[in-house]
Amino acid sequence: MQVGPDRQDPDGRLVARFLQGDGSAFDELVLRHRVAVYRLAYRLLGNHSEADDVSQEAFLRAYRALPRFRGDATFRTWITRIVLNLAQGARHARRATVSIEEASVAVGGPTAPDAALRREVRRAVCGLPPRQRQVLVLKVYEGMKFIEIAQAAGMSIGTAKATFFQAVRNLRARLAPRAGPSGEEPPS
Amino acid sequence: MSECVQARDGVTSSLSGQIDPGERRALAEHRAACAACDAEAGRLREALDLLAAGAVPEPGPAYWASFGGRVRARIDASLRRARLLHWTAAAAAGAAIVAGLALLQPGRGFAPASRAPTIEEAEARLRDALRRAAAAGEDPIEIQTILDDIVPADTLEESGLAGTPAPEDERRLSDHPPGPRS
Repeated sequence: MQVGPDRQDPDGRLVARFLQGDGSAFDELVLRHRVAVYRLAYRLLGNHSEADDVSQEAFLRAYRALPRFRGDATFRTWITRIVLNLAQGARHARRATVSIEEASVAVGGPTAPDAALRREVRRAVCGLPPRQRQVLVLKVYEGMKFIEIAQAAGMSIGTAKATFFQAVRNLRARLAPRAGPSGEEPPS
Repeated sequence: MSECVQARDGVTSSLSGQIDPGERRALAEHRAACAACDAEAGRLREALDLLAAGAVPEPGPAYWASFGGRVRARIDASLRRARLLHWTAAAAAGAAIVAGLALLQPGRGFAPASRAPTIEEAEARLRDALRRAAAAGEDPIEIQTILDDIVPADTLEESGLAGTPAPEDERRLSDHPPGPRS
């Protein structure tokens, strides 16, 4: 098992610099990952306010925990895991999905049908069970491989695949009117 | 049916974009032969395609311009809190040690901390009381009463201090529990 950051990886080099006392290396890590972290948080939570808070908190947690970073996953996978945990905590805390509609409408720009579709899709994703939502978002939006999802979400690769399948089926059921009729029994 | 279960893995791989050529071929063959799995795979693909509509709103350049600074401010605040917590804990620990040492002093328990006389002080008080009593022509019984008021006789007897105390003995009388007065 690899111990310590991978110096071949740009993030690994930044982590190594940070661990040697170069504080600016952490600023570079923030710069490199802030958009991905924010978008992931937004997809998991469905609103800007919580996504913003979780994003900043994720970097704070990373700052505190970097001295213990073992390098057996990439920095991206590692901070993804932090975001997943924080987002799950935030959802537990509020117990209700709010502001999804407000957030998407506030952006402006899209035509009414587009805005309606976006709201519907976002609501369907946010309505999934937490693990399914995590795996679906990581796979579809973050483009992660199942092995990366398994590392980030703390599950086996097989569980990640099975959870992804269940998530898509569940999503399909929630989006049934748009995705077409479902008269046939799915394979079990 | 077992082929349908296997096809499910193939559908998952296909939807995720992680499907190898062999698995792709096997899935295509199964879908051609199984209408239910073919229909399910098509519906799931449609659902997944709809996710493309779920783009994240862009918070704007002003948001990103301030992002790093706000993270840094949060880190600084956290470090300040940690330092404060450290010093508070150190101060609390120090206060606890001082209080503990005070409680561990001889003659000091959890009872009110009035100072108990040493053996020498008690002897001096005795001598003074006897001198005053003799000068006043007091009755011997009265003198015994005075002695009892100063030091209970049974306490000294039980502790072996009723005889001649060693001059170096600095123990305090309250180190010994008082017995019943006779």
